[in-house]
Amino acid sequence: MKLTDKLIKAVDKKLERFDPLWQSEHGVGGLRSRYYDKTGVAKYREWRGVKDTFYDYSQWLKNLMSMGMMVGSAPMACLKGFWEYRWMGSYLGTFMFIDRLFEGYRGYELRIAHMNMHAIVQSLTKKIALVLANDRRFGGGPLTDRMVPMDEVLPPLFMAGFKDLIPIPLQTLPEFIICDIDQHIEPYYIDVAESYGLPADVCSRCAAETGVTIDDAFPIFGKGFLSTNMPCNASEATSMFQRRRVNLPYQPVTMAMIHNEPGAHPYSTQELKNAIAFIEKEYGVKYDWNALFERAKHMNEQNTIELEKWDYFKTPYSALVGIAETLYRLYSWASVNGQEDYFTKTDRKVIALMRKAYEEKYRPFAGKTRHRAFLWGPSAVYYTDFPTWIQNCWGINIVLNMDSTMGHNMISTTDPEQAIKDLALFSEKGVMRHHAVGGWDNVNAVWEWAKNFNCDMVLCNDNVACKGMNGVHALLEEQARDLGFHFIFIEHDLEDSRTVSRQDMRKCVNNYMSVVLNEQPLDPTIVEFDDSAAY
Amino acid sequence: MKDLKHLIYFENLLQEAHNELVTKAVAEGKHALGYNCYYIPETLLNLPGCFSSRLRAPRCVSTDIASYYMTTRNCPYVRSILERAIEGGYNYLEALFGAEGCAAMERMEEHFVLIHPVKNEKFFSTIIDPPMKGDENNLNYYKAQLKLKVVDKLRDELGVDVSDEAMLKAIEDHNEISSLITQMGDMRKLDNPPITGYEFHVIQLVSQVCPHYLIKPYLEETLEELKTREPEPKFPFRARVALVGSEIDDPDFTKLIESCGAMVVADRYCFGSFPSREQIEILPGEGPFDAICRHYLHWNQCARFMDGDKIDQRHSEVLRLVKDFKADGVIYENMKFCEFWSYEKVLANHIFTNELHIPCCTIEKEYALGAAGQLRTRFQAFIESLEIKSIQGGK
Repeated sequence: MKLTDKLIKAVDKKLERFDPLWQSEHGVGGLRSRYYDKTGVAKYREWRGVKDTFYDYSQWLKNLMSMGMMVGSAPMACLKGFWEYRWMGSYLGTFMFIDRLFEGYRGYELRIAHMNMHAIVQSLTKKIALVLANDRRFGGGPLTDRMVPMDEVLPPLFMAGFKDLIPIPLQTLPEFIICDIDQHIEPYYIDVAESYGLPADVCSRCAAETGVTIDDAFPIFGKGFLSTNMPCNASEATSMFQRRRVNLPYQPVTMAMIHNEPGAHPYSTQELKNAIAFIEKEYGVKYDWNALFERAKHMNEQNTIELEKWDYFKTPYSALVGIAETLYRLYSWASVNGQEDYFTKTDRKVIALMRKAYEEKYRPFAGKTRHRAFLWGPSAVYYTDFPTWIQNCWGINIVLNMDSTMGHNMISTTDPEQAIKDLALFSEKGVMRHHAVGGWDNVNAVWEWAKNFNCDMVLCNDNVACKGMNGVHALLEEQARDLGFHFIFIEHDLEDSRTVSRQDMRKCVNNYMSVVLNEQPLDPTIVEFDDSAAY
Repeated sequence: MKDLKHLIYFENLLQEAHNELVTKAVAEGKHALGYNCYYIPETLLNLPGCFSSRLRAPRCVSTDIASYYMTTRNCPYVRSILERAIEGGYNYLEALFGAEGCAAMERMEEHFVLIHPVKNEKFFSTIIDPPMKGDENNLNYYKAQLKLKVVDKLRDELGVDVSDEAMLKAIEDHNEISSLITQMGDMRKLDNPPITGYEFHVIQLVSQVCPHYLIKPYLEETLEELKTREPEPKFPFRARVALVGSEIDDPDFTKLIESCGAMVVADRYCFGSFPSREQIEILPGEGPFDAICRHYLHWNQCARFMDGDKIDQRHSEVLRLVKDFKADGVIYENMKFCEFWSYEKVLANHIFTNELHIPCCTIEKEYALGAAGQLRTRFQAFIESLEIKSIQGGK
């Protein structure tokens, strides 16, 4: 052992009492001990040992640098953005958000988590600067007319054939990802929609989108708007509000809903062709198949790596775990979709580390995992760190979630006709769509997934306003009972933390784990706590 | 006005899905084919040897078992239908043709296969993926879905004749019954109509839930009766309204509005005559099946359509009805937990009130008529405002 290693080990030993994992093991504290009550404000950073604390802090600085670069690249636009848009202020919570996501992470899982997270941060900050710098509200910019507002759940890879255009997922910045960061932002927009007459029983995510629309809080850019029927009813319905407010030529790309039948794909293929024709007409540009093929190669490589990751997920030695997997896959698939080299590079680095960890038979979370769970159904956006909590509190490792199974078929990189067919299939199986819509068989596939990934538990997100998933409630429970899985419905209200709070969500798990399974928590400080005032 | 001769008979037919005319048609060997949504063309279910039965769950007072399957947080219409199916109320059906018109509807229809509530050994069910736009690609998809999951199934499973001649016969049947209903419905355009909104609602419903060939003689007789029926000496209502919304299959809801003082002069909702009773025309060079598909896609006013033309059509069609039927205002309804109509209602309210300056009232209701007191208060207030507006010369 090198001298430095010896030294580090000695310091780690000396300071271990500050490590919340050590504290919980010894009954003198835990992960919640360092927080001010009700808030997400910590009194001090999490002590993870010398190496991991230093690494974690260096990544904190790296993310800070990305945010600095965002402001530096468009200072006036960012300033105006903070002034104009309520949601911009919530991005200040990013650092607390990241810290919260990776509590209890050490070693390989911490490194991989930060690699993935930084990919998101650097992409998102660039996107915010780009959008604000070209927002017509602020006078527009040189790229305003080259940007294409798209519904965020329409996979943008097919747009890569327009090499001079920039597809921007319209709802991501003001509505979706910001709710990941700040649980308090979307209730404002939901209230705006409800004060306009929208009933409170519709999906809160779509209500929030509608509120953003009515509140005029979408940046304005582009010459044509692509909406979509994905993933579900309320999302479709919000489009008619956005159509009026965005007030641009408008093309809904309606992919087949019952998408597991052969007849669906020719229809969806034609929908994509029509969308391409619409953009060609509105933007006066020609589609370039070679440009598509270049980006499709990246998507194919990312999906190839993803499939290899799945092999590791099936084992106890996967260093990519929980929210580090979930959030990255969601952003890299739905929002980036093969269009940024950084994500291919990140995937290469991550898979290399995963291989190394596997060879070393490395068990994440110090081998404290008790249950392996498959997470099914759309997750609560306002409780992004739920997978982290459930591992730290009960030792339940979420090895994969429903949305990570999104389109992973390969796209042809030589034949345009085959490529567009591949893209149709790929797009039909988008966010909250591959398994949540299209028929019972798609939902019922959960048991096969769980079995293949060696899970003993299925956690089913129970979005109280999701009519489709509510419609199979009893059938899922009966299946779980028949097939012998531990099964927990976790009630949430997707983007409205007031209806079902984070603590209410935790309670669903706590009750099952303590009453049904009669287990003791790993960390008693996080079984019940009030974080209602946290970001 | 003098009571309509067959009104009580019609009302009795609406007391259960498996009514006496349905029983008679089944006994005569006709195939009973259920459906829930306008996306499934009624015409195709009235091919020779078949009859359509639009599913209702009258007098459904509890949805306990359906709520176990679908939770209480789901559309009360679909829960009521599922409950009635589990109770055995649809055992006369040989098939259910479903449409993924909304997620709740699709899940409910899936239960017809997954938990086998219909105790009829011939029973089968399919669900089409209905289009969301009115363009050519969506029309082609609609045709393909209807052919695969309705027409071919009727032929293969039940041996139904699906030839062009049979389709022409079904179109003829559709046009005949639609003509009867439209003639009665058009009477509501008169300043002092000889028919009330409630009566028309009952008549329109029996035309959807009874075998056409059995209900038609009663409808013909009722039409003749209406032609000579003396209206009240003076228009007995204080206002005229168009009723717009989703699955309103309870005539008592119309009665509630009328009891508050407004006649429902136009019925633009899922069980209403707009759309459903328009004439099917066959264009030159067009086959009957293609004509049926084009007709149903064109007239469909479902709130799930996403393209601009269809969204605008929804509002222009209501505007047309307001003008043609001289409505003073519009009542927009949505079934509780209905995503599509929740949004449509909000947008339409804005468009009608602020852009078209037509008074609009929006309400949310359960499937079974509950909370009638609250609804009555809403309607009374709305009708009063219409009346005041009328007194003030429209200001």
